[in-house]
Amino acid sequence: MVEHRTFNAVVAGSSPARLTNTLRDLVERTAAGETSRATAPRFSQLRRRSEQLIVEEAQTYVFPSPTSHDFLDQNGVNQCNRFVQIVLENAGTVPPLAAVSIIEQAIAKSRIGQYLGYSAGPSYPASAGDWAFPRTTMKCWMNVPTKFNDSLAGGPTLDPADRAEPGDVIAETIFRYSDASGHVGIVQAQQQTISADSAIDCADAASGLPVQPAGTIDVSDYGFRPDNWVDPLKDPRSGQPCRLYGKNSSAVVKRFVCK
Amino acid sequence: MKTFLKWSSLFASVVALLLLVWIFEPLDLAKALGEYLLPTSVKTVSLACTPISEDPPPDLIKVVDEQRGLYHLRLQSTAVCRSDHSDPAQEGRFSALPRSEQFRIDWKPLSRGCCSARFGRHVIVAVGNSKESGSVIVQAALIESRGDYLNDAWQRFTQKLDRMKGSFSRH
Repeated sequence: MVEHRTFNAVVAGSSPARLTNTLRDLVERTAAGETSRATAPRFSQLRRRSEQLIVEEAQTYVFPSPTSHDFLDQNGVNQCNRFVQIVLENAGTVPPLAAVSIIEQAIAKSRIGQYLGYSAGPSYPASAGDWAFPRTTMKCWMNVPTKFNDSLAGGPTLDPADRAEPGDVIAETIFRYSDASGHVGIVQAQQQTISADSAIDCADAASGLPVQPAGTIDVSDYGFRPDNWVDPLKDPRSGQPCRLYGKNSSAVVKRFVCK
Repeated sequence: MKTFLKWSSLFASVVALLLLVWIFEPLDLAKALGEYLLPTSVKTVSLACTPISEDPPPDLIKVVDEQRGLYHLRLQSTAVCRSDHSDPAQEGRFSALPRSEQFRIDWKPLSRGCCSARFGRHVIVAVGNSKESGSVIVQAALIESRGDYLNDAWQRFTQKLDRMKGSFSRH
């Protein structure tokens, strides 16, 4: 409807010659598939608005905000997925729903459950592993194309993290964690992820900064690290690298697509 | 009739196995069995400090004893070392457990008491005294009895069952 309204307004105040040019222009644009974009700004503006709200909401938690310690690790278990859930809720988006009964849990684990908006796990909110499952499309959250998708399309191949935009959710499955399924955060910009950082205490100690407790919300390059990355920050207590994960090629990116 | 019995018993076995795997989670079950069957060993972590032959400070040994009593553990070994690194935020006694991601993957911190983490039946307590000149750190290796370890696994199992009952009762 937008292109029609635009077209009528143009027609009303146009000379015949200008009208012909306008018509020709419109026909050419239609042939080129551009007129469908006339409706796109409204949707993309709304999506951009959602992304902006997600980023703004996430930024309110970043250290030294008073709420930066709201998601501290509990008994060594990171609360990164709870942080993402709260941010998405507060930003007015639709985070994956909880599965509450055993029947719903069974549904949630199925592919149908993913499309209905349930998290893949039986617990609420969606775990990092749910977010990082590359073939899962949760309601309102679409996967950003992977290298595999690119290779099918025959174009240049990019990792999802290379295409990450502000407001996307970036996640990684980490099987070696005994109490967590991975890590998840909100993309603030390329190379910048806001998350409940379980390695912040190690990184602070290694950098000689006042040590913040594990799980403090900060901005890191999680999910954007090159494959050959070795953490230059070493744990002063053990001499081991503070961080091992967050590589670009392991990251799965999901984008909010509902209005 | 025989074929029916054969297939139904096979089906029941598969269901029971799947149920066991779902309830215990494969790694937990495998780890529990491994811990039960393997011979007892001593597990410690590598700390960036220089071993010294001094007696451990009494206040740090007290922390080790408290953890031993709290979790009904057996002390296997104690080591004392000195570190030049002094964290300005740490004054007096502090947890000397490593903060690296590798350590967090291998060891799970214990919620009660201070400065300890678990790997299967193995528990380490790493505690230090911070001074201007550096720190003295005590690392103790302790172990839980096989009986207690299996009992803990059973408790986790019953907690899972309770949660399942809870989710049924809501509907």
